[in-house]
Amino acid sequence: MTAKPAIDALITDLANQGYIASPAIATTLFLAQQLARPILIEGPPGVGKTELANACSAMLAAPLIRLQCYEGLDESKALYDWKYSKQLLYVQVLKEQLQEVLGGASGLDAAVERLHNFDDIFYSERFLEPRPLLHAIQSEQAAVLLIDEIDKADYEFESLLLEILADFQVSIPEIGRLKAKAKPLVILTSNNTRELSDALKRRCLHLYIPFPESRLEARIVHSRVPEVPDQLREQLVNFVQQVREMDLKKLPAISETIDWARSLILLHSQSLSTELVTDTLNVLLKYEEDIEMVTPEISRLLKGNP
Amino acid sequence: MADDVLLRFIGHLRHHGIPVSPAETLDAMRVTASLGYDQPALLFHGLQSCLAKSQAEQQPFADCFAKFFALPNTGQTAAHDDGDTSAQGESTPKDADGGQQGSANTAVPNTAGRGGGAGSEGQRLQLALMEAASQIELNQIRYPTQRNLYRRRLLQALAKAQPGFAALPSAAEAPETQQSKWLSQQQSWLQTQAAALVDRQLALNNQADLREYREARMRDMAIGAMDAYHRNQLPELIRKLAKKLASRHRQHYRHSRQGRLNLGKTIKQSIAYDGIPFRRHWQSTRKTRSQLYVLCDISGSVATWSELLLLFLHALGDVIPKTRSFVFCDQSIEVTDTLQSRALAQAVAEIFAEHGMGGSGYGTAIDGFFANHGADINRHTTVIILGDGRCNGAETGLGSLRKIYQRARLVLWFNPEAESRWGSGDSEIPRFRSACHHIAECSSLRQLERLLDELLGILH
Repeated sequence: MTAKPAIDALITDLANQGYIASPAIATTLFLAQQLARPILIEGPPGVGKTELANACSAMLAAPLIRLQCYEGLDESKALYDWKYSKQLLYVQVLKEQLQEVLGGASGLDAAVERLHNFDDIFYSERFLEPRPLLHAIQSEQAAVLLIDEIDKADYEFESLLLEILADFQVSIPEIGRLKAKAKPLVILTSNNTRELSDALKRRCLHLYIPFPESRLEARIVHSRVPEVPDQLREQLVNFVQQVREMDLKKLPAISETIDWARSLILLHSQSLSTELVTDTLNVLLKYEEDIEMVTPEISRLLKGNP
Repeated sequence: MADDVLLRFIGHLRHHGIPVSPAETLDAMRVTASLGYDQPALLFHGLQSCLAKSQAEQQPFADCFAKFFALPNTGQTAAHDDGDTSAQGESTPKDADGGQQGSANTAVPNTAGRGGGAGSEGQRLQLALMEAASQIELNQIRYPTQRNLYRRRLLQALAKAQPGFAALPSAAEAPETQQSKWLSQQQSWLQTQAAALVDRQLALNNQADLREYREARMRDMAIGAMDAYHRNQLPELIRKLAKKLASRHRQHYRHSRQGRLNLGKTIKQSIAYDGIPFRRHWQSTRKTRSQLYVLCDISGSVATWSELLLLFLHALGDVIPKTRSFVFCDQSIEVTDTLQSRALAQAVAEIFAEHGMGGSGYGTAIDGFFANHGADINRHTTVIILGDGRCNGAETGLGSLRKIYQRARLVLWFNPEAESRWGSGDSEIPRFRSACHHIAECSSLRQLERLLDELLGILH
């Protein structure tokens, strides 16, 4: 089979962009490209969901079009809108022209008949204001479309996405159907704050990215912050892995591990000590309660290091 | 042929509660077409991405995959897994005892036979076993009582195909030669293989059947009458019911955010622009979100129901209005934060371990609740109290409850006791009735589901 080498190549390509992908991620990405399916990525915040889209965009040298979802997002902000002001302006400017067009028409019926002979100029692509989704469809080059935090948007919005996700096309009542010039690679991310509709899930490949195990995390830190000495990296990853097993409000994710590694480099540290961890714990943990919970445990957690 | 295996696998997934639509089946076919069957780990990730569409489905999917394809723990697979550090939490499915599964494995490369059958001879027998299994339709087996029947049929079918094994001379008749000894070894090995095959297929089919039956029964069963084993199954069932309920009520929850066009204002504004409605005005309706207060008695007698109600309400997630949960034995304690910060089942268990199991004191609990939160209760508030209303002859807190009743939109009392027992002994339900909009019996899961269904209908 040719799939295995192709998937391995994907892992290498992503690694070149600084993204260390697990076989599950690479397999899903491979299938998404083969089957032209969107990927729905779920997982805790900070495990690299959005980052995957960035890496893909860099890897494929494709433009990244990003749509950040929020409550109240609707089609006029996500899909398309009409340039109302431009339409109004044109109406004003063209008023005089109208006299010429209608000139010589006798009676109301004849005038209306003449007007009908003109195309619907105001609802044409010229007055269409493309928003991210339409941008991705119209893009000449296949783009990477990132629909971030889809769980934050409303249910109506999910339904709106279905047409794009399934057929890569947009129906605009006044114009008709706009098909994608080049099928974009669509990546949706979700933090699982609510259950997504089955209709949406059905159209996507599903990928769950959990917190990485220690070896993978060490590789990720190495790739992102190569300046970290080996010993420090090992200590740091071990510490974070242990913190993740505690009952915290927000568990530290990869992004926090990387931030922490960067701050330790700034402080010129060679290894972790209790004082150093106490002083920099706020980089890793984002809640006061969490910090209070971890602080008394620091020396024990550090001893847990090999 | 390969598609046949996939279809059977999908049949099993459906059987095990993972819904797979025809469209997903087509996807899965394209996945197998592009990945092939020879890389089990790849196949696993590929099929997982298109068949298991939620986090909750990942584990059952992995179990099904491992059972169905019963992947051999070959050196090649192990090396592959070691090489690629997998970010997956669960390991790639490997079944330590390897071997065979139904007729499915005819398409999946298998280990060489073990036990008596060595090398190619073992493989040949394995294949014969598979063929016999598909001949007698072993995958139809449903109940443990059919085990012996299928075992016998399997061996009979095998004997028909391999006459050499059936007509073994018994040890008494013929002198024990090297040949006959080897044959009888083979035969007993085949028998154990056949038995194992039947058992594995049974495990695959039987579990799901039993579960469906059990779930149907559990919805009607009185919760008080359940044993610990069944109670442990409830959270999963509740999650399912809540999902159904949520999707039913989600549609009602939509309301127009923009509101209606305010014609008067729009026209007035448009005068400045030559009558063109440049600026439109919307009559937005500010909708105050309703709030739900849940007050659960967690004294010994009704703790189980409170647990279920809390599980249910929080599983309903975003269709239910903002909920604040309280538990009480003799003091009402707010547990909203605990419920939100941890996994639901774990949080509930913690709450009960910390605050539960005392005698209920409705008087102090309701008075305390009113004193602390009475000011927040208004026309948008719904209060649910879950308890049996047995005050042990102590204070009832009726005065406070009446004040709550006057302020709140709705005060509901869920009572786990059967209606015939209300008012008997120390039950003060008849008196509480004067300060509640409705008192309902909720002794089984079905009743609870129906009550919440109605409640959601009213709230939206």
